[in-house]
Order: sequence, then C-alpha cells, then structure tokens
Amino acid sequence: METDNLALTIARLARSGTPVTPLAPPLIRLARWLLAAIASSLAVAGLIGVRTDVVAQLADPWFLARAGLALVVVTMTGLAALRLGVPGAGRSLEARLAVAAGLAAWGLVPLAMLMATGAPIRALLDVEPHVVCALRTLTIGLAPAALLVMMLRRASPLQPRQAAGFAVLAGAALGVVGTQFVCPDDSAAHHLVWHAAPVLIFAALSLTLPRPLLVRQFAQGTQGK
Amino acid sequence: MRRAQQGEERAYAELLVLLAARARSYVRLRTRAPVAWVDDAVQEALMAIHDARHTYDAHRPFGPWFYAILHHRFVDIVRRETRVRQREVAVDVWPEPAPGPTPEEPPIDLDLVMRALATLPPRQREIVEGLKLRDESVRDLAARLGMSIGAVKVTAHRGYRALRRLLGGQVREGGELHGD
Repeated sequence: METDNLALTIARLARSGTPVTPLAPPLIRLARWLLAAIASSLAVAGLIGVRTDVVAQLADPWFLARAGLALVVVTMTGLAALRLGVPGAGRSLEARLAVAAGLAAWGLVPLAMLMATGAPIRALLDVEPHVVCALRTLTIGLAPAALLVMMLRRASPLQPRQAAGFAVLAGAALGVVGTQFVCPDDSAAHHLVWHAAPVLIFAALSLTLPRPLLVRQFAQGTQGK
Repeated sequence: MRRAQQGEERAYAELLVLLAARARSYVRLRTRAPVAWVDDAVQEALMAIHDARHTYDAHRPFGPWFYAILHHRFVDIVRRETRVRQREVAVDVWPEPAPGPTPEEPPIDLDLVMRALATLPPRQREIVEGLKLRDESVRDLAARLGMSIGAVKVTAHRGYRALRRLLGGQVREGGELHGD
C-alpha cells in the first residue's frame, strides 16, 4: 500500500464520516430474516405442491422431530452467520461448535432410525435416486440463503467466506424443511441422502463464492485506498 | 463512536486520533522488532473501522469491536508482509526502517494541519486537498481546473512548501508528515 499521511487520512475519513444507521443487533436481524425466509419457503413449497397427507404428517413425531431439528439448525446457523457479520460479536470457534452441535443433533435422529432398521448400510445403498429432492431443497432454500448473504453484505464480516457458508447452510436447511412438506418419502435413508446431504454440499460449494459477492467494496475502505 | 455514527466530524476525528495511537501501540507490542509498516497497518485499521462503523452497537462495549477489527487487519498485514518478504531478494545492507513517532513525539495536531491548509491560496489549497484528501490524480485535477499537468505539480509543490513552513517542519517534501 502506498504510504499515506496518517493525519490526512484521519482528516479524509472524518470528513467522509457521514451519518450511518447502526445495524440492528444480530438477534433482531435473525428474527426479521426468519420471518421473511419462512414466508418465502412456504410460498415456494406451495408453488411446487404440498404433499397430500401434510395434515396427518403434522401429528407424526418423526415428521415433527425432523422439521424441529432442521429449524434449530436454521436458527443456530443463521444467528452464527449474522454474529460473524459484526466484528467482536461472535467468535468463529464458538460459532462453528454451535453449528456442529446443531448439525449433529439434526443428523442423530435419522441415523438412530436407520440403525433401528438393523441394516443401515443396506438401507442407504437401497435408496433410489431422487435428485429432484435435492433440487427442491435448493429451490426452496435459494431465496432465504441469498437474503442472508445480502444481510451479511450490509454488515462487515471479518471472515466473509465462513459467514457465507453458514448463511447458505441456514438457507439450505430451511429448504430441507420446505422439501419435507413436498416430498412424500419419509424414510430415514432417503431423508439423509436426498434431503440432508445436499445441504452440506451446497454449504461447501458456497465457500468458493468470490469475495466481492460477499463483501461490499468501499470507495476508501479496506481495499479502497 | 455514537457521535461519530451520527456524522459529527469533530468527534469522529478525535476518536480516530485516539484509535490511531491505540492501534500503533497494539502493532508495536505484537511485532516486537521495529517494522516499516506500522503506519500502513494503523491506516488500514482506521479505514476498516471507517467501513465498519455502522456495525458498532452502542449498547455493547467498544473494545471487543475495535480490537476484533484491528487484530484481523494486523493478521492480514503480517501475512502479506511475510509473503512479500519471502519473494524479496536478500541484499547486504538493509535500508533503514522508517522511524515511527516515538512516545515523546507530540501527537498529530489535526486542527493545526487543517488550519494550515485553510490559509493556503485557493488554487494551492484546492490542489493539495484534491491530491491528499480526495485522492484525485494529477491528471484529473489538471483537467478539472483547466491547468497543465506540470502547472498542477508546481502548484502542489508550492503548497507543500507553504505547509511545511506553516507547520514548523512537520511536512516533508511531497506533502508527507513526519512519521511516514
């Protein structure tokens, strides 16, 4: 970087220090995001076509446990992403541990059900290809993930890729909840392979997103001088 | 910081001067040996703070917010400098590192700099401010003011000389302050 004059830099920054609207706390932004994201997921799931037995499913503990745990993951990863957008608000390690714990809890229920079949490997191998479920997850989760990434861009994430990874994970997990209301196959193996696994793939792919997509470029900001 | 968020230039300038001193101490403490890029690191940290000032929540402590940004910029710069050092060709005699201000050195008097700028003739002031405060290029300034590039450079040089005289030698050739 070209060495600039510190006093003049301070004067320049002070002069361009126009009033700014402070960002709302992460919990409030999470609540706003959840409202918009759930509404969007319901709308897209409705457009795709809700399964015919949805009312009966709402009384099924397995159905409710899957949806509930997915929503826990959505909330935890969404909050982790938003907190990573505010310097000093959340530690990266804590966020990763919280998300890992949520994912473990989410995966534990279908895994337990799979083990209960007595032949979990066989059940996984016998899962029929159903790419459409992965695409449904992507379609339903796309808008929530994009919205969260946009909210992160408005903030100032110090680790933008990690924050974006969490944002996509949260959006895609919401996509899984939506897909659950569309897909009539409730087997644990199908759920793990075609609903849950794509979420991790989408989140991993989001780590390759180019930085300018994730961080606003400023006229005289960290990249700007 | 709350007043800075509301656009109070004076409060913001005071805060940045204070943060610059903190940032310099932080960098010095962590690098231990004198390094030439202390001021670069301080400036980058200040710019990052400027960009992120809307993320500060007045209901939360300022320290963790500030030091998170500072630490992140510092780590980035250390990595960058390490990369640069690895690609540099070794020489027998290293150039002297740029001396940073010592603790005895008085803090930068921003008011004095701004007052000195205000006393320059309008054309000189416009050119110095354009080059140093607004980051305009000599070519752009020349086009905007209807002057030749050479005339802009000569006027800028005269402006720096006048500033140096007014600030009692705090400004070097080229408009740089001591410590850079």
